[in-house]
Amino acid sequence: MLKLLSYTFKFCTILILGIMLSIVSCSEVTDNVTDQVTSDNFFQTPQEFISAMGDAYNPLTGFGGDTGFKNSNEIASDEGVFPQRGQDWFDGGVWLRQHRHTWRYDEPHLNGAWQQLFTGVNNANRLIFQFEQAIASGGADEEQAAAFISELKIMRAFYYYWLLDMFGNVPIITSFADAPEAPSQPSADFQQGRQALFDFVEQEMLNNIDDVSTDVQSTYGRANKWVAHFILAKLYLNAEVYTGTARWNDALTHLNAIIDSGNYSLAGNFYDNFVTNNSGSPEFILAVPYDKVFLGGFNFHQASLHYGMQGTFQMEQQPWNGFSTQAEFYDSFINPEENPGPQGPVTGLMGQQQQGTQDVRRNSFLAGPQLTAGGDPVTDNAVYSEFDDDGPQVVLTPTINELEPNACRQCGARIGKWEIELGATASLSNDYAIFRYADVLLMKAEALWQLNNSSQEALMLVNMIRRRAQVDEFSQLTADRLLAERGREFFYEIFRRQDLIRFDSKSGNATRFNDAWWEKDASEPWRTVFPIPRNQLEANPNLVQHSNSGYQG
Amino acid sequence: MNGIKLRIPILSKSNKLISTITDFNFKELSKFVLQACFSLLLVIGFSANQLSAQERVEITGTVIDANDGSPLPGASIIVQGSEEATGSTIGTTTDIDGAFSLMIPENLNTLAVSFVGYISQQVAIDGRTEINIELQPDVRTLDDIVVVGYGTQERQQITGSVSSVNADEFVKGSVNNASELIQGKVPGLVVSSAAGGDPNSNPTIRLRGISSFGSTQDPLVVIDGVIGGNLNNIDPNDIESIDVLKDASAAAIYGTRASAGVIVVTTKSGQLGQEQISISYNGYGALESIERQNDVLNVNEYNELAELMGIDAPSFNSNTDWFDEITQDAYSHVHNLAFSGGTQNSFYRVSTNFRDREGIQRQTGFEQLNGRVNLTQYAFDQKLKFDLNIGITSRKEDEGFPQAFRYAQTFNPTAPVKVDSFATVGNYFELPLFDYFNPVAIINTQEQEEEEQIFTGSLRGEYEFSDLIPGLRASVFYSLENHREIFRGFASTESKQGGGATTTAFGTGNAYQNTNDFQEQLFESTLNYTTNVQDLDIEALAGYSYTDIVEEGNNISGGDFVTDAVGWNNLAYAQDFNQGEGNIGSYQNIHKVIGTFGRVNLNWDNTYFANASYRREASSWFGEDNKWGNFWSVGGGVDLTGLLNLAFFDQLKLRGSYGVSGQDAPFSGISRQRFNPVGNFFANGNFIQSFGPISNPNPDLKWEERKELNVGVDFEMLESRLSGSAEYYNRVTDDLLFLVSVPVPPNLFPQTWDNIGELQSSGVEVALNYNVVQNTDLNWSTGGTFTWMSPNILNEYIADETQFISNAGSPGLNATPLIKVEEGEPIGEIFGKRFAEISPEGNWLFFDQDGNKVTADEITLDDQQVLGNGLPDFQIGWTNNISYKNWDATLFFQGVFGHQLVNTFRLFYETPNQISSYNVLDSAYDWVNRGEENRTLRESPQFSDVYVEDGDFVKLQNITVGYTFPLSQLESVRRLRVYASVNNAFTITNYKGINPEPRYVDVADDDNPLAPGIERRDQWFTSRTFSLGINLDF
Repeated sequence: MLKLLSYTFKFCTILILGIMLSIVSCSEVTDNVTDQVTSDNFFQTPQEFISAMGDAYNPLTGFGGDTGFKNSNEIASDEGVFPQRGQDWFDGGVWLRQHRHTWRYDEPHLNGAWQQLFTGVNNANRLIFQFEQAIASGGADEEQAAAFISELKIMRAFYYYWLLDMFGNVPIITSFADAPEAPSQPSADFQQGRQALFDFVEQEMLNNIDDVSTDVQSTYGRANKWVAHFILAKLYLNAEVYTGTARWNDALTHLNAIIDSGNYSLAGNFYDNFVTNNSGSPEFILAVPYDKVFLGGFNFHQASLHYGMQGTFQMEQQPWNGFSTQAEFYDSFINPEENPGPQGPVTGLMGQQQQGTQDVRRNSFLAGPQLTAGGDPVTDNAVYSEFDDDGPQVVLTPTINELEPNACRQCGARIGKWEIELGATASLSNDYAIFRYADVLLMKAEALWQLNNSSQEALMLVNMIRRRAQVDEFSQLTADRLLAERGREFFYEIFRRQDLIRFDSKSGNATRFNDAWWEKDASEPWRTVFPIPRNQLEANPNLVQHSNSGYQG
Repeated sequence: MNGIKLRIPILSKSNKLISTITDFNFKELSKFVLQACFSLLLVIGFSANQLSAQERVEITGTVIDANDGSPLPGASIIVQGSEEATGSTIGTTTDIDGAFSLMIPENLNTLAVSFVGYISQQVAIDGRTEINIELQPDVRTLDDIVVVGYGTQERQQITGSVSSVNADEFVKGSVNNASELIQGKVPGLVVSSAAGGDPNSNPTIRLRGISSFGSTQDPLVVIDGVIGGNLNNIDPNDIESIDVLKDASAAAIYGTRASAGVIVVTTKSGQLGQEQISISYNGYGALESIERQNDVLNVNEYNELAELMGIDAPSFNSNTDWFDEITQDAYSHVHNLAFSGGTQNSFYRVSTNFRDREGIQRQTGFEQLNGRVNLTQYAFDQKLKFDLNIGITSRKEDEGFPQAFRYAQTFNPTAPVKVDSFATVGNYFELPLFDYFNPVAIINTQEQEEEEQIFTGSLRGEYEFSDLIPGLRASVFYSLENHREIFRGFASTESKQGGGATTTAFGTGNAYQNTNDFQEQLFESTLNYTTNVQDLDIEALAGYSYTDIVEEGNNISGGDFVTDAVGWNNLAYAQDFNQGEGNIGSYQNIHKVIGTFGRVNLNWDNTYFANASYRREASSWFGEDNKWGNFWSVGGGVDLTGLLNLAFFDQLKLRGSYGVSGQDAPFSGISRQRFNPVGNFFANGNFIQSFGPISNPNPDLKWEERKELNVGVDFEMLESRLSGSAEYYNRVTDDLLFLVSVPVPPNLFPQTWDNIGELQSSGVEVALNYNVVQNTDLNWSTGGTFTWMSPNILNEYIADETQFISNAGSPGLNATPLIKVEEGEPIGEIFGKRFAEISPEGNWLFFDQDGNKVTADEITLDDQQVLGNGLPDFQIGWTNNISYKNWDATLFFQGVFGHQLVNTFRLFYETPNQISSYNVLDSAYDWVNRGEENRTLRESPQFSDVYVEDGDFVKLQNITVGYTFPLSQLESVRRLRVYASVNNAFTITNYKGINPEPRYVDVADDDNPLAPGIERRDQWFTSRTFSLGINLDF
């Protein structure tokens, strides 16, 4: 019995000691994050700062491919359309409404565009805040950090420039540290109007333009002085649309600054700008250095090409048979009336071979019979309409039978402007120029023409572009010619919507943008800015919808 | 003081021998306790060694069940008065045949015979040397022991909501997962086989609807004390009972992991003193075939519809039944072999299980080998007890491809499976169309498998301080669970879907290997104290719990193979890695949970009951400023049977409880500011990883909290032939964890995890059992469970913002959300347009808010409305057990009502003009020449109430007929039963899709619990299983 008791005591003691020990030793419940960086162990080396800068440029990857930002601009213009091809591409009617200018305030792609641009603004604000903190705490060299901060301010103004263009009146948020305590409280100066936004972008650019790098090579893909000049030029070129006051001379100042720098020139061949290895084209002022491995997102080929054309380029994934151009827009390339030049065989509006203008830029489109990489016809056995009468062979006809519901699957010329390499992945490696020197020349021509309709310099500049395209030179300029030339030069380079808005209507509407075109009636003047998206209005009670618009909310 | 009853605490349900209910009459309480402890110990263990010098007489006999005459092994026999007479208690227990023998002092004349579940007896010896004792089953106390958190309680004393299902009540027939055993058996518990016939998918378990959005909506599983146990590491054959802690008061003792309820599993064990080894074999073979599928057009119908529509639909001059091509009759066999036995100081059970199952999709199924050892050893006069439990599972799954079912529906019936051309896709006929793949090619040119190994080991040491402080027990518990999974996939260069092949070029192929390694260590120590003060029995528990979980793994995937020869076995063959294109990742996730807990149970005169529990617990995943949470419960009950003269009731008990339980955060780092590579940045001519924030800090982040009131009544009447319980609960879950949109600035990142959101629901649950016929030859008992659940109202949500989520998808139905989430509304609201009619031109017309018929183009958000709700509001389970002589039969029906489902098959594949691209459902004919005006739909699919269907169903879940061969007790075979069984025999429903079971999450939206009620297109057909089995005991 005694033995038992002693065992009992021993056991008891060990047990109680064990419990006490375990409580003492195991009450540490800190969350050990071992596979991600936390604020405790980041922002400590120069390498980490440069790495962090990348976040300010991240939204640019949405400028080339199939994104809300891109589609909002392209489909609203006359150069792009997603026809409803039977089962495919209805998607709640969003693309039909975008085409017909009947979009609503709750379209997901418009909200996507807003988010993409504000992500850029926010990332820039955050990084400025973090850099300033690092300077204050001695963690960063002040001079080095100041250059970073100026670059970030230019990028922030770049995103605001697009917000100004697309949404008109958005809140200007510039500070992280002084952010409103309760952002949900209404404040009178939250949206200060389009003029204030214009002034802000202008001022930010002017304030920082001399503090960013002038070197072109080392700033490839980033904001340098010439990028700032370009944004200012765009701002002034469209100033009348944004503020009611034209600023043609100011536009010329900044365009001349770019030209006079001697940093840029037209590439000898138009397609040097669009081939897979186009990096470092002398025309690129701001480019997204897309790479199929390191920087994905350039996927127009997925969104545009016919299913069967997977075999044409031996693509890793089957394309989606979506984005097409409108026949009228296609016609502006081959029609000798609109685009005079040497005549030769071209693909006609019904996919047939015919005589037409041999503009080198007509190969911006894929049209006519399509072949696989091995040279066999691409086929599609499903048949919809008279447009597919030639049987299963895929012949892309620039003319589209109808917008909805049964656009034929082979209808519509597709994007072929950028080289699609054999064996392409879902993302292409071609770089994508957001700002291109050709635009500097055409912008300058337009500004000069606006100041003087018979400016010879303006004519000379337009003809530089036409010469490269191997088409006849114009002997005089008109608004139609300027706009059409921009269309031919900058197809699928985002600016078409903006350009249409800048040119006066031909039929008494507010702008050219509001005119009727294929399967679209004339639209209301307030359609030149997009609505403040529903999600944003609901998330932020400060925000109000545009007054004097028919937009909901 | 007369009539004091002592309840020796019952250690565990399997441990029946050391629990006993005995009446004593003593004067001093303390002495009484001591005596009882001693008596018990001596009875069990060493009485034979304590002989005194007195004259003794040997008495032998058996103890049998008075009803069926079966022997009762392990019954306790104590010689009354032996302690006073000899200084020690004389007693024994019966062996496996119910036999006993005792040396009894001549002057003593009374034996006290007791056995759990039977009415105790006192038997006079009256000079006999052979005594055969028949014990009457105690109907009231049968199934009386309920496993609760950290112990057991008598059913009578339970104040919260706990349902027990014992092995004999489990769902019968072909059952492959422990959760299927209790499908429909517990009111308030829904086990949804949403995945249909997928052999490798576990059912979804939801207790009382949805009560949590935290780390999981699945209930916490506790297996033999291992918190967070893995149901896949336990073969259904090895389970003794499953207890479900339904309300917050019952679950509160498990603190931060209990908001979705707790399922406590107890495995089978041996018995003390069972010296003859018992061997049992259970096995069955099964044949599984398709139960429900979608019907699509055959070749003739396809051509006819195309003609009707005036569409020149593509035709390829073959006749293929694509369903036949990818499905099979699936054979399975299952074997379970178990040994158990014991000595006077130990007992054990060892089992091995083997399952080989085929799935209804060709080349799918799994093989599983499982072993379990449960061992208990006593020492120091049975004061010290060691339990060792080990479970090991090794499983290999061929996963198959659910999308093959979808493409079998849409692939052209006139297309051949193979043609001579198309060598690049292995001669499989393919068409260049969006979302279109030859289903046979999918399953033949690709492979996916999962291998897993699970090990669970636990060790418990327990000591009774019966000499020191009577009624005090202490125990320490350690468990280790290791779970390793490897997922492997390969798509050959001939695969169009996964390998990028086209009809003109070989693809790159693709392979992946993902490994997850999960390790949980649990250390717990507890103190139990049992005493009584006059009529008041007191049980107290205190404890400490420490959990350490490390989860880590890596994943590799790459393509561009020169040869298909090595598949996934040598990923260096993937040239993607040479070009910087392959993907490699690894992760580690550490989780610690520390808790202290306690509980007090009071029982006054078996009439009034009260209890309270408390757990204070910290999780490493909570924010810095909110590490510790308090979870508690109180409950009370009163047995009216003894208080009132109740004419109708044999028993009537009221109970009520209130409790607060919690739910942990979902992952490590959730409350911290974290940065991750968010892309690459081209700086100075090179790409470098660009780090950006991926979260905001939230030091206040805490647990979700479930507060629940539960009231219930338990009753028995008609001489206990009718028994049942009914209860009502009202529950509020607040501080729900959501990823909330926040402004940037002041935040670095636009989303923060926060405790914002409140969910409210209530319900009524009823369980009834009735013994319809009870006689020697024929027995028929029937039982039902009825569950009514109110809508889950989202009282508070992340913003005023209404969210529209769960996109229908490609092709053509993007920007088409199916579910609305709004503060103040129930969750699971299916939202959309209301169909009016087909226009004369063949277009869709919908009702706008004023009741006008307008085209889709004119419909705005305001015109759309709630079309249904994905969560059920009523559920029944109905069991019938019938036995006639040696025959037995079970019929089990299950029904779920009140939920709607979005039938996405019909949404995508029912409009007739799609025949230009896809094959369509038979029901496409419904849209041709429709109504009096003979209108035909010519537009493409649009979502509307047309595709929102009631999911109500009743199914015969199982029917089993068995025959037990009459065997003499002398034969070595003790029991031989054969049976035939059908699972999922038939389903009665108006639902037109495949599976009317509720969907608790949207599988296409990252398993989003806010979007229940959508049947997606990648859905396995449901299956019906016939099985033939045998139970053999030696």
